[in-house]
Amino acid sequence: MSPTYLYCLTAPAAPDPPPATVGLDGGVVRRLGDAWVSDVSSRSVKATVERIRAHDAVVSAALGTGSTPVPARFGQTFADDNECVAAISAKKETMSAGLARVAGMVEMTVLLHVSTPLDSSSGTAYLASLSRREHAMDELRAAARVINARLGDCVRESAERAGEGTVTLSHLVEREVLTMYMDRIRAMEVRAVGPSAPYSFGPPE
Amino acid sequence: MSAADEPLVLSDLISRVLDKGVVLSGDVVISIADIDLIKLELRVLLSAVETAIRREPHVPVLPDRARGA
Repeated sequence: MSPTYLYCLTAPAAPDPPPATVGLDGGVVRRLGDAWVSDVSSRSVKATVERIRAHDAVVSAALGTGSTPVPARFGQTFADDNECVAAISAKKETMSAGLARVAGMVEMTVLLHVSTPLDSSSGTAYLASLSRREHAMDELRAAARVINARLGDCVRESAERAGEGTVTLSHLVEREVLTMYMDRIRAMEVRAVGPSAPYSFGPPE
Repeated sequence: MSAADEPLVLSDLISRVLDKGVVLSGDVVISIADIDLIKLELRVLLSAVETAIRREPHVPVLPDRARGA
């Protein structure tokens, strides 16, 4: 029996995967209880760009049915369907809370980044460029606050993550106000990626 | 999105899929073997591994070679 790979959890009344939906390594995606799964050849899943895209494509297909899923983190395999169902049942209340949190919502992502490369031509130049980048990052964080303020009640929840030269804003947005959200985004001349499944707004831990 | 933003978008996608989302399995094993992926977003991978170890300290999260595969 092949191991079972988990993509996402869906609401009990959510539609089944469309027949042509394929996941990791071309595996056919099927519904298992409230989960979308496929068979995989091994319980150890190598993280490649292709597989990460495949995982996200399945979760996006679930979102595309009109019912918002709770995405699963990449790489979760189970010995068989029974083990997968048991793992979901063990966290049934948490999953219900997670589904309720994101019902009717999508995630939008605003990516802000600095364009100040680090200069390693000398020690002094490196420190100076590091200082410039830190200043630019402070400006990005300030810009993020302004963006959130201007989006206002278009956003149900917001999460911010800072990385190397980047600030990422994740927004949980009701499907019904997505047009208004995008209008406000365009008015600020920033770019938003999405809609995507709500990876950043999972069940309470 | 312009083509110049694509690496940023891909990096964000990798970060979300590897490091976000609900964890149900006690046996999350992510093998890290794709050199392009490692070059693209090493920090994200390390963050994902760190998160997995923090959540499930008894679970091995190692490259294939270290696992003897």
